[in-house]
Amino acid sequence: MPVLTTYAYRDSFVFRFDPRVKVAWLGVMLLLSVTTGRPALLAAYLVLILSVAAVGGVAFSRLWPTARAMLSVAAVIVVIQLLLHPGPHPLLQVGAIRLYREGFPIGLEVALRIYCIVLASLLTFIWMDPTALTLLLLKLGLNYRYAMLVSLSLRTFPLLERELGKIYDSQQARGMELRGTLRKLIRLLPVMMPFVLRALRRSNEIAVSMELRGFGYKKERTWQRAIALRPTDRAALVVLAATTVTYAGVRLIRPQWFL
Amino acid sequence: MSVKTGTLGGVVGEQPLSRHQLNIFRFDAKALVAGVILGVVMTIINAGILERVDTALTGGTWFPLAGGTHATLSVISGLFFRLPAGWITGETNALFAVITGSTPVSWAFLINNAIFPVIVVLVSRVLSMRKWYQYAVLLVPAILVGYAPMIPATYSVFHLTWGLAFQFQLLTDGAAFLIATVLSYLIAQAIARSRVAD
Repeated sequence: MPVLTTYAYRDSFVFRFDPRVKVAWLGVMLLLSVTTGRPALLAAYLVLILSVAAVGGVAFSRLWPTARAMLSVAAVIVVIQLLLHPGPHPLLQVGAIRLYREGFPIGLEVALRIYCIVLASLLTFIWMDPTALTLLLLKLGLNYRYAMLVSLSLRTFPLLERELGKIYDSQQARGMELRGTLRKLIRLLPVMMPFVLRALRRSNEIAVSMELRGFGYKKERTWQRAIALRPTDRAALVVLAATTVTYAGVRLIRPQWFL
Repeated sequence: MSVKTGTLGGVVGEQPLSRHQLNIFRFDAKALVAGVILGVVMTIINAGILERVDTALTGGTWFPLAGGTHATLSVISGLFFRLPAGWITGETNALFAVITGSTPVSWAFLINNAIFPVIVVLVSRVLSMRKWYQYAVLLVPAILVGYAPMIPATYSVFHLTWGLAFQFQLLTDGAAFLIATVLSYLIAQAIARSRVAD
């Protein structure tokens, strides 16, 4: 299963938004998720994120691999909270281990918060063109030598994933049994060593080709594209700012609604 | 770019493993790109396999496996490519860890991974890094200090007691130390022999 669902353009108004709008949306979702403790509200935020994804042209099937991988994480988190929060209502006893009902809301809160944070972040990066992200970092004053590295990481991710797959295949062709997670763990070194060496060789090739194209030759460089806020971007930013201010006000006046 | 040469004062007559080991910073394109690539490698290995296994086993409260590979690749990055490549490797991994949801405390990696390479770079200036025990010496302060921000993160995310958060962190530290001492020594020697980092 690929680790990361990467950017793939779709003709949708969300994809056309300026990267600042996407980052602001992520900021608002993170703020809501981190400052809310009520599971029902966190579940509502999760529904909101999935709805925005659907409206924004990202099918649930693109988020599902990550969501599915996190199911086991969420389950373990809930079990740990059942174990760690003793109270008057035992839920289950297995030998000396006793699970308590009191830990369930806490476990649910933590699991839902993590789902919100991860899916909002993932969605933002599915929407975010790596070049637009680089341009955004340049607008924020980051030197282009560093700003380009973010898009480089997003672009090399699928390439290196394929490389790891090839190393697994090569080692299996040499007779190494690598099917199953346990076998992969035991034989980590024979896979990791060539993976690191090949990745470093690839990084050499990339660095040389970048330098041949003048990377770092001048302090400034020009870009074929530029980012600029359009009226729709400004309107979206105003809506997000208004949402944040409203939320902060209600959160301060009625904190019990969120805890 | 200037490259300092010479033997290490503390280890008379022993050449450093990497020819950049006496420098703290390396700003050439090769180092910057290698920093990113090692960050992606770390993410693919950790987020793809190890962190998921760790989280399934421990719920993300501690990392019996991922800490080892994280420390290994952070050492490799810091040792051969110095700063800011060490930071770039760590922060690339932290960024991807957040968006892949590999562990509930991935946001704390942003702080961990800023501290860890600094210790690696500073300690590796006074060690030749040609002996296996020098990796153990390097990893003790790097892991203890570099991973310390995970304690408040585990405490707050899992609603644990401070004592339990501290114990879980010690377990991660111990596992990371054992795995990384072996892996980082073997991989660093292989990289030095292959001259792929020169």
